Amino acid sequence: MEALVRSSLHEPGRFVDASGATIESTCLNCPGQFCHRFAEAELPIVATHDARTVCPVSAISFTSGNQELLIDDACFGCGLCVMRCPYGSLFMDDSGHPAMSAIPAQYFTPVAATEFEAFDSALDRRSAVPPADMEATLRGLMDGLRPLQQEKFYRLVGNLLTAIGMPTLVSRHGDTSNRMDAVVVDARQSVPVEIKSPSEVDSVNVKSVQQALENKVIMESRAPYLAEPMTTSLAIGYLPAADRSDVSELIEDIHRAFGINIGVIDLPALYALVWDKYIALRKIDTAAIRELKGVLP
Amino acid sequence: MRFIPQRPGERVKVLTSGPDAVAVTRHIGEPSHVAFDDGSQVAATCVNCPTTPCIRYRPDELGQETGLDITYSPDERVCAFDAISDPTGTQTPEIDTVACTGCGLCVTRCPVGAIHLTDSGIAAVNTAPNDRFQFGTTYSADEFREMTVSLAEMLLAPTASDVLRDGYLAARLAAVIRSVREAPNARNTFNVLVRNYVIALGMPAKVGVAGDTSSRVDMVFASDGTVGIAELEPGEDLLDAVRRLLADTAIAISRSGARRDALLAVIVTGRLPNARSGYFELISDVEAILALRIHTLPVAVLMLANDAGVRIGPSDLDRYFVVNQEIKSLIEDAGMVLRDPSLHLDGLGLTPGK
Repeated sequence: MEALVRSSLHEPGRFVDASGATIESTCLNCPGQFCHRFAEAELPIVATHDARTVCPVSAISFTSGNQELLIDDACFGCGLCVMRCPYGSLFMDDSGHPAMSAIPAQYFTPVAATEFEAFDSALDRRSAVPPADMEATLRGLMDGLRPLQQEKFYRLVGNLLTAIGMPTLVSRHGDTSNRMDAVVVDARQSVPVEIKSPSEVDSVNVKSVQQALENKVIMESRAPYLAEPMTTSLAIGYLPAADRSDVSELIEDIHRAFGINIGVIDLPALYALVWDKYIALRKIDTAAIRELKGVLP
Repeated sequence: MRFIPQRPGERVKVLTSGPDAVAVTRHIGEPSHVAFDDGSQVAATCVNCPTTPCIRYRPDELGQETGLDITYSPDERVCAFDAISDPTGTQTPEIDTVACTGCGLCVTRCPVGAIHLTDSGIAAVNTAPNDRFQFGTTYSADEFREMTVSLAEMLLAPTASDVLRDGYLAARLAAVIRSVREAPNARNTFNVLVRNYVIALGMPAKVGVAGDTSSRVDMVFASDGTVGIAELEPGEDLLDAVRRLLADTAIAISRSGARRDALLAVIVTGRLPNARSGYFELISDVEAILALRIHTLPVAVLMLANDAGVRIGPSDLDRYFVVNQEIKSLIEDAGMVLRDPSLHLDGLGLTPGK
C-alpha cells in the first residue's frame, strides 16, 4: 500500500497501491489507538483518564480484535473520532454516527509494531475532499451539537482544542472552586478558556469577553499555570457572534487599555482547524492561536 | 424685586423680624430646632420653596460634562421611590408613609431642616407656621433665597449616636433594599437612588438609563478633575459588576483617552459581598494585574454619609470609603451593617456635622 486517500467524511478512506488498485480502509488495530485516545505526547501534563479520551462522552469502543465498532447511545455525532483515525477507517454514517467499513479483516495482515511504524511513516496521505464538502460536512456535524448541555459541550471543546495541539483541561462540572471553564495547559503559555455552550447562549458576546478578561486576571494573579502577558485568554462559543462589532471593539479597547489579548473562536472555526489538521493535512499555527487577539476568522 | 406668585394663592413662609437665627440642629425622631441669638428656639418648618428642592433637582444640578459617551437619565426626582410629592400644588411636600423607605435624601435636600427622620425610620415634614416662620407675600425672591441659604449654612447634622442608634440604620437600609427589589424597574430605582446619594455627597453624578444599551456605564461622577466610573449592583451578582466595570474602564481609557490614574473605579453595592463569592479576592487580583483599584461602596456608607451631612470628593473616596476585607469584617462583626453605636463615624473617616 502506497497511499491513503480521503474523499469524504461519509465514507472510509481508500488505500491505493502502486498499480492504482484501491481497497476500503478498515481498522488496523494501530498501536496508538488515535480514534479514542490522545497520545502522551499530545497531553504533556498529568491527566486523568477522562482527559486522555478523545470521545467527549466515552462512547466509542471496539470488540476484541477490533472486529466491530461499538458506539454507545451517548454518542452525539461530533465526528472527532472519525477525523482522528489516521487510516480513514471510520466514517460518519447516515444517522450521523461513526461506523466502520465491513471489509473482512483478513484482507489485512497482522504485523509487528516496528513494521507498522514503517508502513505508517511511508504512507502517503492525500486529501481529496472538495472544499464545499468540508463546509457542508462540518455544518451537518454542528447541527447535531445544538442541544448539547454544558458538561458535554465543555468536554467537546476541550477535546477539539487538544486535538489541534492545544492540550486542554476542562474543569469538572459543578466545581466552583475552579473559576475557569478550561485551561490550555502549557509550560509557558497557558490559556484560560471561557466556554459558552449553546444551551446557555448562542454565541460569544460582550459578557463572555468580560469573563475572558476576568479569567486572564485570575490566571496571572493566582492560577498555578504560567502564561506570558501577551498570551491570550479565549472565549469559545457555538455560533459566530451576532454583535461581532461590539465584541471586536471591546477586545480592541481591552488591548489598548490593559495590554491584554482576548481571543474569540466559534465552533465552526474550531472545527475548521481540526479538519485542516486531520483531513486537509495542513499544519496548524498554534503559536498564533496562543496569542490570538480578536475573533478568529 | 417682588416675588410674583406663579399661581393664585402661591405663597412662601419667611422668617419674621426678630432675633437672628444662629443654628438649625437636626434630630432623629423630632423636627429640627432653629435656635436664635436670644436663646429662643422654634421648630424648623417648611417654607414652601418655589423650586421644591426636596422633590426635584434643577437641571444644572444634574449636568456635568465628563467626556464619556453614554446616554444619561434625565430623571429629576430626588426620591427614587416617589414617596414625596406636592399634591396641593402649593409647594407643600407630603410624604407617602407607605412608600417612604427612610433613605434620608429629602431630609438633606431641605435647606431649612423642615424634614426629619422619625423614630420609625421614615421621613416626616413639618409644615405648620409658627411664631417665627409665617406666610408672607411682601418680600423679594432674593430675600427668600438669602434666608434659605443662610439657614442652610447653619444646619447641623444629628449626632452620631442618634444616627447610629441600635438597629436604626440597618432597618432603613433593609427598607431601601426591599423597595428597590420590589420596584417595577429595580435597576432604574437603584440607579436614581445611588446617583442622588452621590450628589448629596457633593459630587455631580449622572446615571445611565437602565436597559438602554448606549448607557454603557451605570454611573459617572466627576470632581476635581477626577472622573468616576461606577457600576451599581442592587443584587447579589457582584462579580458581574466587576466584569462590567473592567469593560467600562477599558473603553474609557481606550476611547476617551482617560488616564488610568485619573479614573476612579467604583462598585456601589446594595449589600456587602458574600464572603464565599471570591469578590474581594478578585478585586485584589485586578489591582495586582491591571493596576486598577476598584472601590467598593456599600449603600450603607452612602446613607450614613448623607445623614451626617458629609461632603466628600474623590480623594476622600479613595482614602476613607474603600471597603476591603478588613472593614467588611468589622462591619459584619457589628452585626448586619453598622448596628453598633460604638462604631462611631470617625472610624469610617466621617466627621458629623457640616
